[in-house]
Amino acid sequence: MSWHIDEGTLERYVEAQIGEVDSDSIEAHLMACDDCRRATSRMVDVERRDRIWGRVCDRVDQPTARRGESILRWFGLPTHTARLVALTPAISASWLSSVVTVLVLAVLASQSLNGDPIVFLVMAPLVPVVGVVVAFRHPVDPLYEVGMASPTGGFYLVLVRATAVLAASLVVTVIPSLLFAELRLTMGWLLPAFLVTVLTLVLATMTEISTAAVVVSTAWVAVAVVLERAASPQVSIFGAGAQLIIAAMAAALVAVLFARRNIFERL
Amino acid sequence: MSLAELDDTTDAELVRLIADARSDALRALYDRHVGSLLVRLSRRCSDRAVVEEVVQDTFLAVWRGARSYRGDGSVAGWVWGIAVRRLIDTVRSRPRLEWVGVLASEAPSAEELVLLGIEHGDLSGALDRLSPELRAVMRATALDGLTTREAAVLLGIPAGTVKTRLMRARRELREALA
Repeated sequence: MSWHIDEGTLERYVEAQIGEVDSDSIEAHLMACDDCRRATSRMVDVERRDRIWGRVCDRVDQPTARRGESILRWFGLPTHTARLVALTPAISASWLSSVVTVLVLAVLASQSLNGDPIVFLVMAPLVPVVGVVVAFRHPVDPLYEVGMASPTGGFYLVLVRATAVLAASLVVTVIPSLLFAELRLTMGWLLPAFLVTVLTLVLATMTEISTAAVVVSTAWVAVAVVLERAASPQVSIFGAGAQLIIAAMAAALVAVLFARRNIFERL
Repeated sequence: MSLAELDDTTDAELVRLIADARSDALRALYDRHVGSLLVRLSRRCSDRAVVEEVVQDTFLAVWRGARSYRGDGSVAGWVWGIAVRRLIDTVRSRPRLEWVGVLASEAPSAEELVLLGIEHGDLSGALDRLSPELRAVMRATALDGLTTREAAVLLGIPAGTVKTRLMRARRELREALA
């Protein structure tokens, strides 16, 4: 730039003591002239300059929210709950993609059995069970220490994360299940999934959660296979009557879980 | 690269360093632009706290979005574009904020007229004779580079009014300079 605004004029511009049109001209020049722009910065109160910079620094140093977290917040979840959910290990992309892979394999296995969805229906409810174990097995949990120290802690944490795991499992399990033609058969795993997850949590009040998960999973597979082998298609465990019984059992277990919630506070 | 060396770096190079998460480069860019941003925004919004917040958000956006600077056009223009759009967002979310587009202006002094060292003809006088409303519209569109719709938000008037005022301003200027 071949010419510069003289100090005095620039000073009066900064102090807003100059005409509108001239101020506009100065602004047009400032856009193009590095030297005059730097001179303008030097005329701003140092204390004010440093204060604003301090606030920029504070936010630059803040960790950026994970993508999942901001989506959840967009849906109206409070910040702290959104972070709890986003940091739940069982909701990471790698975990969810491996679940989808296993379930697609289950679907393929079912189809090689003449379209009998039994393999898929028995396996699908185990997804949230394993998810809950992953969510609470602390070596992989970045929030374990925080959870231990948090005043809300315990039961609230368990509820939030179990719900998040259930919801995520539901979404990823629905996708492969759509490969089946018959909706009644493909959706039969929903209530069993809820039942075994709650049962796992209830047992976790008495023993290690991984032990609880193994016991519940084994029991579920055994009961499902034995009943499916024995029963005629009309009284299938995935049929309407059985589903009602499963729903009632799940509701009862939720009540038990709430009754025993104090144990989680001491976890 | 030390802080003293950053002093000689061009704005565009600073932005590239910021894209590599160099916070000292952000500081250097901040020091260069904070003054003109503060004054320029203050002429468009009378609320000091809002202006500071907009400046703060602007440099945060520069920090996070340095990668998106394509290198065409000046860094000053890019930074100002971010700042003025932040200001519009703030005004939009807080409709009671006051836009200072219509300050009473004093007659320009002789000193101010030779300010630019350029013979303007009577452009400066013609601009000064424009009514404050017309000048505000001219500034928002021609100087600040806003769209009609954005100018409408800042000035708190309908977009159609921005268009008609802009046409009237151009006609008056043409007549004054003819």
